Amino acid sequence: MGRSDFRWRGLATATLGLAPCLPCASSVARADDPHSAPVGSDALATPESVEKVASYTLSARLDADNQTLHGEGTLIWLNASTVATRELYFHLYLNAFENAQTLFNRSPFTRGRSGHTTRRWGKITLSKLSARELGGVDLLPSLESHTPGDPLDGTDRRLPLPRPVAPGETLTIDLAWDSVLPDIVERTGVSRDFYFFGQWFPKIARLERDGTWAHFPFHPQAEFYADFGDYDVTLDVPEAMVVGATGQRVSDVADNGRRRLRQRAVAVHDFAWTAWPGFERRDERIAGVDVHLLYPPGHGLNAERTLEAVRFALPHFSDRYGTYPYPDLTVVHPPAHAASAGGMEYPTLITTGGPWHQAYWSRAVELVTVHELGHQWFYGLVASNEPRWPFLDEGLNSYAEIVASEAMFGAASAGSLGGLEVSETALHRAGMLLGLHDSPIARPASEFVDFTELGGLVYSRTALLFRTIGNVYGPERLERALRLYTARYRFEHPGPEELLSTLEEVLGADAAANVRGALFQGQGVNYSVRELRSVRRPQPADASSTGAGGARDGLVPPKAAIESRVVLHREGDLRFPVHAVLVTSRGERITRLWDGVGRDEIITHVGSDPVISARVDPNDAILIDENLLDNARRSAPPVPLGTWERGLYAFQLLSGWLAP
Amino acid sequence: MTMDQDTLEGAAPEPRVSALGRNPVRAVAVALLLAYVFRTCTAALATFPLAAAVGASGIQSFPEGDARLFEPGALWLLEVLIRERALLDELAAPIGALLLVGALASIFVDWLLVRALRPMARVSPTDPPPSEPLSREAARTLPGLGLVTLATWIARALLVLATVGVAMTARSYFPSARDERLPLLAAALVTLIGGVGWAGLSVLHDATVIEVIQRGATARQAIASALGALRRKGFHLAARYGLLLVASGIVLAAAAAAVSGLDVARGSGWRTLGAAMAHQLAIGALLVLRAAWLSSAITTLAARPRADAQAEAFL
Repeated sequence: MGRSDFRWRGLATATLGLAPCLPCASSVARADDPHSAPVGSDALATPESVEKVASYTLSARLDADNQTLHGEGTLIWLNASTVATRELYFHLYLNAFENAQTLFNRSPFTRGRSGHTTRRWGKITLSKLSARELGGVDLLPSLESHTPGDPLDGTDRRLPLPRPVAPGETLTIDLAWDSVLPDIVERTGVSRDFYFFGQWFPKIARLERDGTWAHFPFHPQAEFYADFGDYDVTLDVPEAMVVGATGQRVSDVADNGRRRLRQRAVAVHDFAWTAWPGFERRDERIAGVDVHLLYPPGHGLNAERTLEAVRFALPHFSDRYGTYPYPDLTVVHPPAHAASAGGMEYPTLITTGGPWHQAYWSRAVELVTVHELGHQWFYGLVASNEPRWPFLDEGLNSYAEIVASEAMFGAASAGSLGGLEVSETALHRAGMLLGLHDSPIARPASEFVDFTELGGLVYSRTALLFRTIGNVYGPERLERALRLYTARYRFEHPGPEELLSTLEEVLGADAAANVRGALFQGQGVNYSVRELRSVRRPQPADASSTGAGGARDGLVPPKAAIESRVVLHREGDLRFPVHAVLVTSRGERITRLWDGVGRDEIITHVGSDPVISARVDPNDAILIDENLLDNARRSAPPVPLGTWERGLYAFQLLSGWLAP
Repeated sequence: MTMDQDTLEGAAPEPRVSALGRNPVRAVAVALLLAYVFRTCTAALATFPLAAAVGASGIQSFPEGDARLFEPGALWLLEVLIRERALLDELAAPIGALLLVGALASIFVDWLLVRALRPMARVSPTDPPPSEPLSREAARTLPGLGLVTLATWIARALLVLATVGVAMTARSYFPSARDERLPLLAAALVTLIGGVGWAGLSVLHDATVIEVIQRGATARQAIASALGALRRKGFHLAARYGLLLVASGIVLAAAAAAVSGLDVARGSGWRTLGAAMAHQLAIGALLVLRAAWLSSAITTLAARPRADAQAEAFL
């Protein structure tokens, strides 16, 4: 148990000790819901305590000459649902690269993250499939030949069983397969002598507790979903290969030009690995975890920056979302010719990427490292259904990444060039604004128009939504809610309702309603200062006033007062409480709080000086505001001197350089 | 014309000081001022629509005004750029055209500056008489300068194309390099050579301009003469030009440091004024540096062998 483990448990205990003092927190346990019990000091699940549903013992032999792989092994599968099942579903993801007609490849408008299609096809072919508890008969002839409803795709395969498998029953499934590796356009395959294996073995789909199978074909915009289990994988590769893989290295034996490495991983839901003779390697122990970094020659600075990011982010995420429970973490920086294998997460293994000179002029290496490391929590430990609810991992993780990167780098969290500091918040807002963003976020990855829309909504808008929630309802309270969520659903498979109920529990119904509206209905908001006016209002004369001579002179000349009116306006259906700041000509500042419920809020000020400027949301809390530029109004806006000055200088220089 | 006994064989005699009584310092100052005004007016015309777009975006309604654009994080800068991107896209082409026209028109300004800097002496029969009216001299030399300018632009465009092509070829010589630095370093080396070539073209251009203005040569004569000068005095000219580049870099860096220290994101008018002063001082300094380089080049080119002068007369 490491230092960070104590710190996390202390935080969780202290937080929940304060919970009854907060008006919006509820720690009432519901007897029928195992997730409703408050998280206590010993409540964090550990890998050993996790129910293992799909455990694999595999061996794989890489034939580098032919760029093929032969694999075989055993899957021990538990029917952890409440319903008997007469079928199994297997993901054969590699078949996405079989030809140009698969679901992954057939549309020229949606080609995955890289935007390319393969030049060298790949596929996975099962040669053995039997279950010992079903008599050991060959089940391959029963395996349906294509994805249900899509005869041109072979990535989602149904296997009817000769008899039902009861709840709680285990099947021991023997399998063998051969793979032809495609060139790397989407994470997996071969590029020159570099290999990356993600989704490379026959993977059983997840059977939900209610007996429905979470099976799906491999869509170019979607990722993955599977059950937790133990993996024991032996890899047989050419001796010169440097290998990185999920889990912990158990043995590594060289013999007769080959190497056999054995990896073990406890309580994970996927296994990925890479092999390349060109890797350089650095090992470092960080926050009680053995970190292994593999990177190409010439990437020394990238390697150092990557480790700096891990040194910060590993304890940072452990403190916030629960101790990283595995003994190892492998970080892989692919070579430039295999860049499509980069920027991805697998349990205990992440891939980063970028050219060798990246770290000299940007923070992209650190940011991708932080992002992919964050996925160890949002996806790895809280194993949500990525194809069905991509925002649960990508959106929450993007929020977590922003918080981590701004803690590391401040306002220049995305980079600093020539004195211009750019934050990740600004970049995510730009990403949101540049696309259409009035659609629901909480929908399957396959339903987005393309990866650009998915990125703008699932990554950027979700991240900004949660930043807004934190800004409005308290960043500490949001962090507490997310700590509770990640603790409750650690090693589980939550959906949106689990997240929303946790948010409501800690932040209150209003916050949860805003999150639900933004996620499920595509709701938004735009606050603006609609009007700023001042009028001189003569006051009635006072008949009892005396003149300077002390005698009663008659009526005193009227003393005028100035009445200013500011109208704030809310468009959209989200409702956040916001502040407004009014400033008079004398510099007096008047602050008001608007609950944001009505469409308009009229603020009236009477005084001797007019209000000359008004601003709603002065602290830029509502980062999901549709237009920040209408959040203020002035009675006499000045000339943009700064723009003139900079523009003049820039064009003076440019015209000098253009002149021969 | 008598020869000084100490004159080296083949070297042109020292130019006589003009009898016209001109004040060369005042002439240079006026030329520099005109160059500054010309450049500033061109830049102001280009800046106006951008400033109007920023002003219309709404950023001026905030108490800090457009100082928000310079706040750390760039949230507001990106907000304005995205909101106004359609307008900015439309403005890019006309502003670019304006700058190109301005660059071409700056030939006149360069002409004034070189005229102010040249030594007032006739060193060959082809040198223009010192008493030639300005308008006649302009009519005689400006067309040639225009041709030289266009030739320089074409040469630069060809140089860029060649550099890019060779750089890409150089990268392709390392298809299987495990060390990814090799392809980029090869391309960078080619680009560096291309950069040296760009500087060489700039020196050649300035030398040609000097020959056109000082000796009244045609464009072709001036190019030939400038090439000859580069063969003889290339190292000397390159060293001076290199000094110009280094000094210009220092000026720009100093201005950037000064403006950074002013922290204009804090929005007060005096900070913006200070930044404007720093920037305009930098522009002025760059113009002075260019004048110093041109003066040095004029002096270097003025001392050329008698054989060349006779060859030019023949041409």
